[in-house]
Amino acid sequence: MKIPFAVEERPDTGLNNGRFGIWLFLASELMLFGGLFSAYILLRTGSSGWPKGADFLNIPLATVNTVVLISSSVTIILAWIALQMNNVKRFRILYSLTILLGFIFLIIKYFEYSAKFHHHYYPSTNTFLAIYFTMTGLHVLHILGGLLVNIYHLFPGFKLYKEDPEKYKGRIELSGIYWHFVDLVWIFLFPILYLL
Amino acid sequence: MDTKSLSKKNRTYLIVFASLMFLTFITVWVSGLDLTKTSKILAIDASVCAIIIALSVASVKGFLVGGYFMHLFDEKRWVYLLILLSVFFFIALLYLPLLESHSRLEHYYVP
Repeated sequence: MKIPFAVEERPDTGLNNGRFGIWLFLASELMLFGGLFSAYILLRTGSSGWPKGADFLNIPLATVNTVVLISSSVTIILAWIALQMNNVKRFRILYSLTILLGFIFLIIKYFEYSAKFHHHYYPSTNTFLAIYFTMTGLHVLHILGGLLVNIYHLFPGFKLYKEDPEKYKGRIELSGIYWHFVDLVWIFLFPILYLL
Repeated sequence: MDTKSLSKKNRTYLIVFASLMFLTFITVWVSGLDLTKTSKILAIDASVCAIIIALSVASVKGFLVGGYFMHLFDEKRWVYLLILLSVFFFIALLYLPLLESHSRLEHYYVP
């Protein structure tokens, strides 16, 4: 059975199912992170003192991670452009690079977390570290989720390109929009946790 | 989309990428500056000055990522409505803690 509006746009909204779905999902994600940003403000303004991020966190490592994540955002959108041009080889290289950059982000995060635990800094140590681990931990889970989707599209999901190229292109665009959202969250997490 | 407009988009994305890198550098550089003089001129606390600068730069970066990478500049009305609704509630969530200031425990952060 063919699902209507999987590729073509609905006449009433001008959107297909996937595009409307991803934006509904991202709206809920904005609320999820919004609640945590709100908790951060509450904790910070409600405390008599607040540490500088550099007191506990490694700013050079986090800066490298910011560069890595922004780079992955540009590789995923260039991959989508390559796919629009039906340049499959270029698409696969750029999409693989996005996945690789995602893993580099996770590896750097692993070293960052390991250093914290080595110094006996845990979420229970103080409220700064509690909100740091909660927000960055949730962000890491989002990176992991994005990586799983991207790996699926690159390997088993790629057969869809041969069957229905337009549907596959749509999926790549939507996975990219999600990946950019994860990048967007990090763009705000980086200054508020590490630099301020 | 034809090849010409796709190539144009390719160039635009690379310019946005360079801008994001530059703004990341600015964010880190400003965080290391002594903002005492600037805060005196603006008559605000140095930490507030740092927060305003850092969040302004982050907002510009967010605008670039949302507008160009997430295609928000070319989206349909329904997407804008959905985003407006969620941004409204997001801002409400951010402001809720600031509404109450009388019942703070003053001991959240334990060094």
